[in-house]
Amino acid sequence: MFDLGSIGITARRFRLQGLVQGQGIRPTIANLATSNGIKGHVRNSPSGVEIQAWGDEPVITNFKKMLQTTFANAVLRQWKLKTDGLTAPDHFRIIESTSGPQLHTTVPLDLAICSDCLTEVRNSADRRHGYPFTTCTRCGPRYSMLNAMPFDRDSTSMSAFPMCTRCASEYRDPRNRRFHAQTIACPDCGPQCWTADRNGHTIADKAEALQHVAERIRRGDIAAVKGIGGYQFICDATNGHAVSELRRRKLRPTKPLPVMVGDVDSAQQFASINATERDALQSTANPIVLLRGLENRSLCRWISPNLNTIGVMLPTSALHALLLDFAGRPLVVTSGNVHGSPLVFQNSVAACKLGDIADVFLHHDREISNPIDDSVVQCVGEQVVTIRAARGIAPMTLSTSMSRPMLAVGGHQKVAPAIQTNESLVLMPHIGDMDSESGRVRFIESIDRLQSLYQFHPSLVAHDAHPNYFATDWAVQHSDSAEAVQHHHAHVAAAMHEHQLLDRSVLGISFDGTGFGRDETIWGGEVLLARRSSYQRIGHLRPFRLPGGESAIKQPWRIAASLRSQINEQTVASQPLRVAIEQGPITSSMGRLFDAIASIVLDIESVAFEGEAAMRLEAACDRAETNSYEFQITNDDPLQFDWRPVLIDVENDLPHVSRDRIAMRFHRAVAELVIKMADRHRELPCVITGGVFQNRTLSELIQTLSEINSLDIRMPGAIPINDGGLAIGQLVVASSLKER
Amino acid sequence: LSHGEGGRAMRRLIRDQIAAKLGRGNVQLHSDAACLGRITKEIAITTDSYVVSPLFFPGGDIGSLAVHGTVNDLAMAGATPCYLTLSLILEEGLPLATLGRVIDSVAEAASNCDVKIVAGDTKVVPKGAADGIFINTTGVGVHSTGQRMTASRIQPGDALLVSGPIARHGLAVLAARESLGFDPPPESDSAPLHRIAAELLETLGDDLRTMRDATRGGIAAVMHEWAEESANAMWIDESQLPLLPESRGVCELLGLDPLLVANEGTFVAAIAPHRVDDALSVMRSHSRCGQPAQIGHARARELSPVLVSRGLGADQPLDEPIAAMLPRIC
Ligand SMILES: [Fe+3]
Ligand SMILES: [Mg+2]
Ligand SMILES: [Zn+2]
Ligand SMILES: [Zn+2]
Repeated sequence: MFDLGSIGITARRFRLQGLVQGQGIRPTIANLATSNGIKGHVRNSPSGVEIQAWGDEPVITNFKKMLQTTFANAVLRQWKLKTDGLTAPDHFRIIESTSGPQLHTTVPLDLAICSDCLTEVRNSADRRHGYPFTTCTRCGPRYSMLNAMPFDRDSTSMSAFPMCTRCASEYRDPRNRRFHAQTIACPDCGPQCWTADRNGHTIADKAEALQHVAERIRRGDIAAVKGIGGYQFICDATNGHAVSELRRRKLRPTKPLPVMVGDVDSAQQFASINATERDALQSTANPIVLLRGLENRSLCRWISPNLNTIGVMLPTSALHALLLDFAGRPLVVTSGNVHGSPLVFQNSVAACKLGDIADVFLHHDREISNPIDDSVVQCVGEQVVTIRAARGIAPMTLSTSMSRPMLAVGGHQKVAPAIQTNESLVLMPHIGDMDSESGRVRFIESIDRLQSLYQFHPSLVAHDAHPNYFATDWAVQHSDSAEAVQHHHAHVAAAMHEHQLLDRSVLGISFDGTGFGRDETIWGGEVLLARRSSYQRIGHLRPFRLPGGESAIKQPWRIAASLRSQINEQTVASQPLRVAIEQGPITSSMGRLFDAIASIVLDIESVAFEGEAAMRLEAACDRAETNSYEFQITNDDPLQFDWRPVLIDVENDLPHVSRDRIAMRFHRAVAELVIKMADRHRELPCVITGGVFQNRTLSELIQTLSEINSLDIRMPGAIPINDGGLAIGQLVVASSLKER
Repeated sequence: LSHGEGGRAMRRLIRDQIAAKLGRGNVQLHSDAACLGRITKEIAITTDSYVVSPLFFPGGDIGSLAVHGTVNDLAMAGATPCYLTLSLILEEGLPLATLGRVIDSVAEAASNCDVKIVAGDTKVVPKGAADGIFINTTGVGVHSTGQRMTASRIQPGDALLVSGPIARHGLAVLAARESLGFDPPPESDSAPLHRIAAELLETLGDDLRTMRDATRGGIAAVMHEWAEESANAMWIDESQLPLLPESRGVCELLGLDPLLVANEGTFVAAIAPHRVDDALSVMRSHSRCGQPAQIGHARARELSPVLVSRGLGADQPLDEPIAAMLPRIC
């Protein structure tokens, strides 16, 4: 046996933690090692990526530096390797993964198709020409088909597709860009798609399948296409009949529909796109990006009626890109679900569940392990703001100093659970609303899946304080140790995590629709002086009643009537309405105030989806208007933001000021209110959070005014500020309560 | 009426205002306990207390309510009502004329229900200690058949029927209390159910799984109980619910779910699916308003005990509200 030391050979073990697996990390490392003459191996393990490197001392030291620069976001640890009894390896290899109890690695995210793969599928000389499931180390589905960690072919749905010899040799070739690509496939060995009617009869398969579906779409039919995270309804975005038929069948009269186009240039035909938005569109996360629509669009008018924004995304996979190529026009691509139910993702139930909506189906035989919707983002200034954290964005891994295994279940709408484990917070993908039976079933299935994926058993479950939330009920029943977290405190705590303000006091401005308050009324126009573990409600919107409870949210004229009754009792039209107001629940919700003002300014009687009235008010804004209404801040404790002067001014202006200018004056009033509160507490950093701030006009006003006034106001970012990010805040608060 | 009067005044009140109206041969005034003689069948007994404001409302009053409610509890158990007791708690200052009207109503309802009032008690309490009149009635009935109503017999596939338009009692009381001023005002459905229950039982036999009057908590409360007792789910199709147009209007304006509003003469029955037509025709021959309907069926439980299809595509769980009326939508 050699005396290794005497010939200058060093052997070292490295571990990279916090890396996203499934992005070609091991092949990159193998190439680094091979090109430097280093022998040894690399493998995935539950604790991270493990490397054994054998080589000359200076070479190994240099290798370590290269690892640090290449994987700047990862934590690199190293140990000397005891070489006694070991034989020096003669080459560098990627070896089998190991699995074990402890998981430090980050679950890999689904990646949009890369430009190299796109080129291949469009090249008639390539063996993957026209193949819809083409992927490589840099692109393709990951989380959506993952059954267990670490990310290896055997633990994904691709285990059903043994590699052919040509794929296998690409997989083993360090110079090939599919070297160790876990999702490698080709027309000979990989997944296949086929077209079927509502009864499940196959119409066309393989190469003809996509062409057939594209042809049906061109003719005005609605297709249900199995994508990466679930089925999607797809139709011609330029065909008014097709789009309104989709709306009719989906019971979705007005809610905006996203549009998919082949590239940024095509999107510019109907939307204005800045550099930040271009990057967001082209990012591997492949979200729907909310853009400002151009005046005369080539799209049909039913895409986003009454709004000036439009959701756009680029092709997610080769399948989408090829479909767009064949169709030759922008396509509506929206979640394949029944109104109020979660996304459909299994072949076996697709035809029966979606058969009333789709005319034709495109199925494929790669199983979806974790159903996941499309993500939604918008850009405010240069910041990409997450509206819905799903495919490509979630599971979103954040770091924390806490380790106690905890689960948080979120709220009631836009539910997304989150976990705390091994110094990570992980926000799971958006599940949906808990109003339907199927939504609740999906919630429970999702919790089961995340527990097995992360090998995770919570010792505590954090939940909202609202007594009537399904998730609250579930948390209390399924945990010996459940912790209720006030809704707006959770919103603020999530923002504190976003901006790394966990060890400080902050001014938290939380404006949203509904959150259960400590005084058992509905809060939603709240200013909190907050720490992680506690908060003080220092100000809120002047309370009003919601006549008819939840029905007031669907019919904002009711809220308008309630507000007017506080100025003049005589305005209440009837005794029953008066009783409805007197008995309605009390709220201080800013979201509801937006609804009421929109109802008054734009004559909106009822809305078809949550937030519609407020979105239409934003769309109406004349951005050139510089005047503002003004909330009066009273001297009560807590302070009250009196909206009555605003309402009086709105009503006085209605006969002779344009609605667009009134809308803008109202937006300015809310922005000024935020600025005034931040100014009163200049000594503290201020976070703004809650669904109301998804209003881009409002956020941009606040950002501008904040700079003018030199205030430290932190804008929304990666963690959704709507209830989709609530679970992160619940974890932050609950873990600090347990810490004490 | 004043509190704390001596024994003689009280005796006179009971004799003149109460016993006289209930009729000779009913209340056994001079004994400590009524003697009911020998009853050979199996006995059913139930008790209930009645508080309602206002005391008089369109379609009924606290007197008839106190009789119908207890009679219906016996009837829904499959028993034939025979005897009632009557306990009155009267608030000081209650006008004698009001008491008179209530007792008249008790007497008339009892005779409609073929029951005798056999014992009673009257107390007058200080002003503010009661709200006008509180009534307790205890009912005794007999079982004519061996069949007992129990929700554990409900099987997946069984039909759920309702005997008539729902939500009338709760809305009538609310409209009267709040002077809502509807024209015509909503009327309570307060009515006895012993005859219709008996005929349903006779016609359907074992195919009648169980029945229940949907009083406080409305149809929803009954569905939750049945779901729990039978370990199945109760599924309701909202579009099939019989609802008078005026009730619909009030519910919409006040944001009330008619499934949660009280009834006093409307009941739900779970029956074997092949007997739906027979059951509906029995109900039609009795119901004052007509409009009995199948509103849903029992099915195997997946997650939630009670589901409602509201024409939105997806079935919605009908939760038992803990904090009523609090919106959940963000
Ligand atoms: Fe919220
Ligand atoms: Mg009762
Ligand atoms: Zn690729
Ligand atoms: Zn192959």
